[in-house]
Amino acid sequence: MKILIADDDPNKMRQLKSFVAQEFVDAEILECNSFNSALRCAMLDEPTVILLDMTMPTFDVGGKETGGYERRYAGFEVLRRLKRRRKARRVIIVTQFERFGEGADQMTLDQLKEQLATQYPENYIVTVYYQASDAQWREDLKAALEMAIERVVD
Amino acid sequence: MGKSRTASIRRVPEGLNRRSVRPFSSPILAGIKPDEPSLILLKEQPVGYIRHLLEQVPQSAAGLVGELFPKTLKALRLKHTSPCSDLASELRWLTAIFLRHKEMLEQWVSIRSDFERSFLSGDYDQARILLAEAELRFGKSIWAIESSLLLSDCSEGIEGNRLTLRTVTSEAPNWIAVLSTFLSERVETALAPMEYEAVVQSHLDFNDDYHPIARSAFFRVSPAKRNSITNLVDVLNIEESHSLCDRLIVSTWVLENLISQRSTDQETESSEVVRALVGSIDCPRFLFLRKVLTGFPLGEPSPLEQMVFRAVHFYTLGDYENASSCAERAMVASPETLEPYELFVKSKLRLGHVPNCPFNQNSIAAKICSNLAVVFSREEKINSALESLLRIGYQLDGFEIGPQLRAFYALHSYESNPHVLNRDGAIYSSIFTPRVAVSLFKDSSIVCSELESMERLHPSNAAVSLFKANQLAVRSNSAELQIGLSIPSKRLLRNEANICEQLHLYDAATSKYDEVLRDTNSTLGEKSEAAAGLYRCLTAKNEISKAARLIVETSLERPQIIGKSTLVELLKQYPEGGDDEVSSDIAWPILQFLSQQLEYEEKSPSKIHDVFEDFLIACSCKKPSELFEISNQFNAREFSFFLRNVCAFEVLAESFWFESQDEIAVERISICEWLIENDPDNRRIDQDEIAEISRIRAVRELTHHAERSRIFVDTDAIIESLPKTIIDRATRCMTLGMLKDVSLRKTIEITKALMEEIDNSRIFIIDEGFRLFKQVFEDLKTQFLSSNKYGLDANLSQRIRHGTLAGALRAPFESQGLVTLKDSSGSYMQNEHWTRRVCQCETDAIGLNESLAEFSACVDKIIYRVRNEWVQIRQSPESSSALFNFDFTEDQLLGLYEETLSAESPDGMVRRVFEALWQRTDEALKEVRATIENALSSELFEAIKQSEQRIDSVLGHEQSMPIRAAFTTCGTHLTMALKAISEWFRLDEQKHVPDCQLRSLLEASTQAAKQFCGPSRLEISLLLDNDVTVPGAQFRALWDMFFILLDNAAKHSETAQTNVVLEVFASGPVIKMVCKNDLSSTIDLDLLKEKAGRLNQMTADEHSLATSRVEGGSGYGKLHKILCYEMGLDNYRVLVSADSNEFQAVIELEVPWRRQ
Repeated sequence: MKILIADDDPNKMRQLKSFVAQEFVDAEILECNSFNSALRCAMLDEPTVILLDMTMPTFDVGGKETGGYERRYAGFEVLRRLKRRRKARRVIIVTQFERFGEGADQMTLDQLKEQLATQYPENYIVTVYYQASDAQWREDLKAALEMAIERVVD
Repeated sequence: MGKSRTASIRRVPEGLNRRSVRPFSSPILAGIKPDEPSLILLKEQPVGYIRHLLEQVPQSAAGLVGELFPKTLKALRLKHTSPCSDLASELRWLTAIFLRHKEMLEQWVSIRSDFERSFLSGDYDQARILLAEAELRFGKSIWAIESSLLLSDCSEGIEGNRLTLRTVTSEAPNWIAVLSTFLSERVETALAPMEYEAVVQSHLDFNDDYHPIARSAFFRVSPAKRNSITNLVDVLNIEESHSLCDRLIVSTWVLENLISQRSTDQETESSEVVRALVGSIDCPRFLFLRKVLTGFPLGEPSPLEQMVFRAVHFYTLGDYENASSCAERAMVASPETLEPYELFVKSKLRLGHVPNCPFNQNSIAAKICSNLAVVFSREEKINSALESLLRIGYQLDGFEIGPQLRAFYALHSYESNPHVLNRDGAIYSSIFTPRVAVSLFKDSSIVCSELESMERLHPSNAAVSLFKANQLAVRSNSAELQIGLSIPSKRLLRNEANICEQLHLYDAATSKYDEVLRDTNSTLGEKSEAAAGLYRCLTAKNEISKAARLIVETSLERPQIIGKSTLVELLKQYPEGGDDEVSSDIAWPILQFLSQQLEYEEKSPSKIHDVFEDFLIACSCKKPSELFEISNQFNAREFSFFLRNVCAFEVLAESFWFESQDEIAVERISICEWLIENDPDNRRIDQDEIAEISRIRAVRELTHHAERSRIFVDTDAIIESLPKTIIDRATRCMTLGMLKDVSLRKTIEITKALMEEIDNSRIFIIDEGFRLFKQVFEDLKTQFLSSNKYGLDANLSQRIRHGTLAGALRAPFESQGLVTLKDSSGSYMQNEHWTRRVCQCETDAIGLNESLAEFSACVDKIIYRVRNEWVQIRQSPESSSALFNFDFTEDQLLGLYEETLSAESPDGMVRRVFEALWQRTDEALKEVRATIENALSSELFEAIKQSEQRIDSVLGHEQSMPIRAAFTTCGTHLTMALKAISEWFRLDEQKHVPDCQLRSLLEASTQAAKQFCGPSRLEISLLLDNDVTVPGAQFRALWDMFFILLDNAAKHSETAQTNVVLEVFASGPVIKMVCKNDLSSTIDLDLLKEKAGRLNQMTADEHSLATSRVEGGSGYGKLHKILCYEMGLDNYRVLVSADSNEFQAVIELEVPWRRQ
C-alpha cells in the first residue's frame, strides 16, 4: 500500500511520516511538499491513500525554486483534479487550521469538512485536525487511515 | 393591448362619497391631527375622498401630510409615521396628495428636466441657477441635495463634493446626513459602482426583513438593489418625512419596481390604485408608465417622440444621413433621454463617421456619446466603455437617463448586439418604441396591438412596419417577411434569420446568419449579432463542436464580436472532464481563454488549464512544446494564438508536468522561439517575452546566489597583504622544520619567569620550530578572522548581522502581523492589525496587546541573542555561546605543524594554515546551521506556543481562532525561513557566479532589501539609464553595496514607509549611483547634517574599516571596505547630504572591468 503525505511544513511532515511508518509498517510512504508535486504523485504514482495539507506552495521549495505563489486551497484543487480525472484515491485532509481564507472566502473547519464531503464524496474520507502539541491527532489519523483502507477493500 | 386592458381603464375610480360617514373626518376638518388608527383608516379611503378632505383641511392640520415644501434642511427630519399594512393604502394616500398639488408637481418636473438638460450639456452655471430656483420654489429636498453634490463633483471635483457634503451635514438632521453621505459617494466620478454598492452593503446590510429605515435607505441609495426590495410599504411610509418632489421620485421607483417584479403582462393586484397614481399628474415618466401599466393611449406624440420615430424610420430604411440628423435634433432637444444618443451614434458609425457629440466635449453628454461609439463599434476597450457608462448611470441615478444607462450596461455587457431590450431597458425607456413593445410584452397579440396603435400615430413608419411584419411572420409560421418598403437587404436578411430561428427552422436560419457573418461589408455589430444567432441555432441542433469552431474562427479577428451570453453559454456545453472527440479541437482552450480575457468570466488559470490539459491529452502530449511536431494539424493562426496566449506562465504553472518555475520559463522560451520562426509578423512580442523571462530568471538566479552563501574570506588578498614579519617567521619555521636531526630544532624556552629567577627556575627544552609555527598560526588566524578588510568577522557583520538577520527572522512574524515595533519610549506599539480583527471590547484589546507586546519582546530578545551572541567569533572562554569556535588545542596545533612541514614553501605553509582555518569555519558553519534549525527553532516555537496559550486565555478559544491560525501559518513560514537562513552559513562560491546584468542585480538586491530591511517599509523606484554586464566576481560586492544603502534608508528615515529612488548611471568605466530617500519631519536635521559631514570625510583607513565589524552604525565603513578592498577600486567617491526632507547618498566609481 502506498501512502502519499503532501505537506510543506517540515515539522508536521516529520511527525506524519514517523506516525505512518510506525502504525502501518508495510506501507510505502511517498513524500511531497507542494501542490504541484502532490498532484503529480497523486496522478501518476497511484497512492492508495493521500494525507493532504490544505495550504501549500505551488512548487517544492529548494535550490533556486522559491515555491511560486502559495495556494490557500491547494488541497481542494488536488481533490477537484482527482475527481475530474476520475482517479480513485482516498484523501484525508490533515490541517493545522481551524479557519481558512479571508473575508468572503473565509470558512471554518466544519464548513470545510461539509464542503469537501459534498463536493468530493468519491475521494474524500475525512479531515483530521493536527496540533503538534496534542496527541489527539494520532488517534484521529489512525481511525481515518483505517477508514480509508477499509473503503479501498470495499 | 388586449380589450381587457382598455376596458379596465374606463372604470371610474371610486371617489368622494358625500353621504359616507367617516368618524375621523370631523376632527381633521376641525384642525386636529388624527391619532394613528384614524390615520390608517383614512389612508384606506378612496382617493377622491382623501383628496376632498385634504382640500378642506385648514392650515393648522397641515402636518397631516408632512412638510411638502420644507424651507430648511432641519425640516427634513425623519418623522415617526404609523406603519401602514398595505401598499394600496399608501399608494392611494400618495395619489390624493399628488392630485391635490398637481400643478406644483408638474412645474417642478419641468424645472427638473431643464436642470438635467443644462447639466448634461455641460452648462453647469445654468444648472446651478435652475437648482437654486427649484429650491426657492419647492423647498429643500433630497433631490436638491443630490443635484448639488453632483454639480459640485463634476465642476469642482471631489473637493467640491466634500465641501457641499460638509455644508449639508452641518445643517441637516441625522437621517438626511446619512443619506447625503451615501449620495456624495455615489455621485463621485472616481468611485466604481461595484465599490459603491459594496460600501452600501457593508453599512446597511441589505435584507428585505431588515429594519424599515435601513430598507428605505437602501431603496434610496442602492440602484442595484432597488428593484429587489419587495416590502415597499415602509419605503412609502417613510417618504412622508420628505418633500413633495422626493415623494414623486420615490413613487416612480416604486412603480418601476412593481413592473419589474411582474411575472406576466397582466396587471398587478394593486392595478387599480397604480392606475390612479400614474394618472395623477402629467409628467413624461408617468405618461410612459401609464402606457406600460394600463395600455392607456399616449395621445398626440410629443415632439421628442416624433423625432425619435423619424430617426428609427430613416435608420430602418438605411438612410443614415437623415437618421443621424433626426437623432441629433432629438438629442439636442432632450439630452436627458438615451434613445436619441443610441440612434445618433449608430447612424454615424454606419456612415463611417466619428460620432462627434453636438455638446461641449467635456460634458457628460459627450462622454456618453464617445463611450456608446466604442460599444457599438465593438472596439477593444468595450468593457472599459461599458464600465464608464455604468459609472455615469450611477452618478445620474436621479436623472431620467441614469437607469437607462444602467440597463444599457446590463444588456450590452451580456448580449453582443441585442435585438430586443432586457426588461429593465424597456421599463426605463423614455419613448414607447416598437423595440420597447416587443421587449416588454410576452404575448404576441398584445405586441401586435401595440404596434398597430403606433402605426396609427406614426403612419408609414418603416421601423413599426418591420417590427409588425416580423410579428406577423412568426404568428403565421412563415419565414418570409411581408413588407412593401424598400429596406436594405442585409437588414431584411437579419430579420429573416431571426424569424427562422423563432420558428425553429434552424438550417434556414443558420444559412442566413452565415451569409451575414461572411459578408465583408457587414459591420462588426452585424457580425456579432449573426455569430450569436448562429451559435443559438447550432446549439439548438446539438452541434456543439461546430458552434465552438465557428465562434473561434470568428473571434480571432476581433474577440469583442462574441458577446458574453454566446461565449459563456457555449463554454457551459463543454463536457466535464473532457472527451477526446470534443477536446481535440484547439478551439476550446482558446475560447476558455477568450472568455476570461474579455472579462466575461473571472480570471481562473485552473479553469483554462482544465481544457488545455484535455486538449494535450487528446493530442497525446504532456507539454505544449510537444505539439510543435504536429503543428501542421492545426490552423496556423489558431495554433500561434494558442501558444502565445493560452500557454501562459500561470496556466503552465497548473500543470504537474512542470516541477519548477524555471522549467516553465524554459518551456515558454521554447514556445517563443517557435513562434519567432513560424509567426514572424509578431516576432517583436515573442522576442520581448524571451528578454523578460531571461531577466526574471537572472534575478532569481542572483537572489539564489546571494541567499545561499554569505560566508567568504578573501585569503588570496590576505596573503598578498601579509606583513613581512609573518612571512619571515614562517620561513624560519620551515627552515628549522627541515632539519633532519629533530634534536637540532630544540631550544630553551626563554620566558620572563626564567629570566627573573634564572637560578631557581627549571629549564624547559622546546621545539623552536613549533613555537614559531604557533606564532605564525596566531598571526594568520587573526588576519583570517579579524582583518577589517578581508576577515570573517567583517564578513559576518556586513552580510549577516547588519540588518539582514533580524529582518529575515522577524519576517514570518511580521507577515502575519504578530509582532510590532517599539515606539520612541521603548514600548511596543499597539497591534492594530489584530485588535481590529478579533477584539470585541476594550478589555480584550488591552489583554491582547499585552500578550502580543510580550511576544514581540520575546522574539526580539531571541533575535538579539542570535545576532550578538551566537553569530560571533569565540574570542575567549567568556564568549562561550559564540558559535564560531577557532580555539585549537596544543595537540591540534602540533598535528598541523607537522603537516605543514611537508609544504614546499612558506607560502604553502600559510595556505595550509588557511585550509585548516577554512575547515574549522566549515565545522562552525555546520554547527550554526544545526543550531538555527534546532535550538533557535525550538526557542521560537516555544515562544509561539506560549503566546498562543496566553491569547487563548485572554480572548477565549473561538474568538482567538483567527490569530491562532496566523500563528500556525507563521510556524510554517518560520520553518522555511530558518532553513533559508541556515543556508546563508555556507562558504561563498563566488567563483561560480556567472556574469550578470546590472539591472538584474539591482532588481534582485532591491527585492531582498524590501524583504529584509526595517523597521521602515521600503518603497523603491529603480532607474537605470544604461544596462551593463557585471563580472560574476563583482556581483557580491555590488549586491552588498546596494543592500547597505537601502538598509540605511530603512533604518534611519524614521518613517513607517520610506520612499527610495535608486538611480544608476553607467557611462564608460564610470558607474554612478544616487540613492535618495525621504525623511521624517521629526528627524534632527542639524545632527544629520553633521553626521553627513563626518561620513564624507571617511576613507578606507583603519579607523573606518574598524567600523565594518560593528553593528548599528551607518554601514559606511563597510561601504569603503567593499569599494576599496572587495572591488579593489582606487578611484571612487562617496558623498552624502541631507536637507529638510531628503537624504542622498552618491557613489561614483570607476571600474576596471569597464575600461576598454
